[in-house]
Amino acid sequence: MKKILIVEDEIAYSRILEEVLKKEDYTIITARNGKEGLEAASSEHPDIILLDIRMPVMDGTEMLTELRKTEYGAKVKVVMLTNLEPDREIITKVVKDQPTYYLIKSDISIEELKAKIKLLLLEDEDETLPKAA
Amino acid sequence: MDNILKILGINKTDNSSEASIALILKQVVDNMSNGCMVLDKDFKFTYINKTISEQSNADQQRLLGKSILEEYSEMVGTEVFRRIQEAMKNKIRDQFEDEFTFKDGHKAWYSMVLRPFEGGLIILTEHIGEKKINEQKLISANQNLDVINKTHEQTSSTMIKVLEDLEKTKVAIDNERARDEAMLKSIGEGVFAVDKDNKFIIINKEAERMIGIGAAKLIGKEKSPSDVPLEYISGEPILVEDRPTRAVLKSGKQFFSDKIVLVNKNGSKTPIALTVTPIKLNNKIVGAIDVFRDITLEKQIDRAKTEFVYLASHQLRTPLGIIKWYIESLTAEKYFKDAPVSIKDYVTEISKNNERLLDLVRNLLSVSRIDEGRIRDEPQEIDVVETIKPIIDEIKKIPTSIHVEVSFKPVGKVPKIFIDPVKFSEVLENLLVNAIKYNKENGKVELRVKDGNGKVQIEIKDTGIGISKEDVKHIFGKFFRSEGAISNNPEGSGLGLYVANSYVESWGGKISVKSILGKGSVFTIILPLKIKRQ
Repeated sequence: MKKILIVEDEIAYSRILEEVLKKEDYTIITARNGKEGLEAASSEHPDIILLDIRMPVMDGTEMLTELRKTEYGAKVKVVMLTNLEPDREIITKVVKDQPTYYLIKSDISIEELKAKIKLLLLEDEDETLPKAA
Repeated sequence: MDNILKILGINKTDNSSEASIALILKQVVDNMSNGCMVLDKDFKFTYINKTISEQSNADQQRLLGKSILEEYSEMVGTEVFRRIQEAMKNKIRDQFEDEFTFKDGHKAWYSMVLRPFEGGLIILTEHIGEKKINEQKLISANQNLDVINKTHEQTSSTMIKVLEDLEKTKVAIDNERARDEAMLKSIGEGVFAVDKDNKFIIINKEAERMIGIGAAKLIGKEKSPSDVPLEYISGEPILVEDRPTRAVLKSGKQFFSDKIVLVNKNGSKTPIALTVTPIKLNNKIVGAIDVFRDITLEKQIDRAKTEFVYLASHQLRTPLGIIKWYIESLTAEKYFKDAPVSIKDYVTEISKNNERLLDLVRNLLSVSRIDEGRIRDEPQEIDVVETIKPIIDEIKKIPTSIHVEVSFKPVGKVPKIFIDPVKFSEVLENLLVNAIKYNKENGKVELRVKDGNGKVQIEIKDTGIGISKEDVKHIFGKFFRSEGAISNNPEGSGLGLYVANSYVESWGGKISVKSILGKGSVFTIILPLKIKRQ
């Protein structure tokens, strides 16, 4: 059973994601900011991390940088889920840490998100499948 | 001779002093400078002296016995002859002056004295030609003098008037110049003018200040605006062949840009709004005028606006995104399928309008990105035809209320193009979606692409509602929606074409439209093969 970590400070988002993904038989862990997210990631080792950017205490880009420094964190699939436009500042911050996806929440449907998550997890299982962009 | 003696009652043989006196008298009369002729009662010459015969170039002998009328036939009807007849008839003395025309055509003034006597008429003539001429000359001269005097007076007064006017004009010109100089000095914009060879001929203080070089170093020193460094907003220098003043001198068309940066001699950079206007004389370009102003403040305000939009869009997206997902989940629930129709309808309406808001936010973000000049391009070499095919396929999948046939026609060999594929798709999608949305039932949309003189030419033709001549002028503007568009699709944002046009222009290309209201439109996009940065 696959584990998904949701790092999101907006409760409404966190809640709906949790509910929808639980229905897909994923185990869901949630965190409210980057700091909590790092702790949850190191203790739970989720298969996928859904990461928001604008959060108090520690934002998503910082968490990603820290995450990639760990052995586990260097390889884990991270889907940035945000409403921030990818401007030059963010891109430069994020690109070096190689998130797997950068998705705009308001531009994607839940169905599409579910499909992308599924694909990423299948990739894990079967290395012959084409890698997601 | 004999006649005179007879007339004088002198006997030839008489040796008395009377005869001698008579002889002397005759000599005198014969040789005097006055002309003397004697006519009998029948107007025939009985005597003419030497002067007469010389003057009329006639022999004395020949004339004697001839009628004066014969000899001087041209005299008939003249005043002279009338007088002669009068004198003869009425035995009255007469004296007058007249101009005679001789047989040979020459004219001369004579004074005539007529003295009738028992046997006829004595006519004494005096040539007064010289006298007359001099008299006339004097009269003419006097008249001329009068005229000259008058003319001189007139000329004097005219000259005075002219001088006065000149003085006034000079003062007026001085005043105007002073005013113009004051204006040039005081206006907050930089102004300079160049001649047809693109050399500075005049420059105001503000321009000197912004350029950082004094007029003395620019005017009459073979310096041209091309010697002043200009950059695009991106920081790239504007090449000589793209320099605005140079281009205007060549094309004769006005130039405007607010996306140019002026580099001062001291290295500081100022964003400017620049207008270059050609100066034409008799349809020839004789120079150009550049007017520019510092728009740093405007740019700062713009940036603040953009940042606000940027931040606001994020703030807007969050609740909108939440609504979007909750509705999606709601409609996915099992019980929703069994919900009453009204609930389904209402939820559909909520969902639609939520998407509308999201669309608006998306467009606002595109616009703010465009306005700030930071369209991040990631160009790649793409096969145009292969890139367009999937776009058409996706477009065909969009559900529409009317049935519209969409077709794709590549014509001939289409060159590869170096362009950002995502934005390229966005532009085509914008135009294609419009072509479908504003179409008629069973309408058609056709996309053609071909090589157009070394550039890629894309045409999107539709059988839609068309665009009026008035609206065509505004169609690429921000938030513009024609009446037809609004009634056809009230939810449009009016930004799709603005975004498409901005992208295409930033690539150095051009979008244009030809349309007939009620029949349809053709949008044409022309793209250079290698995208020029602007």
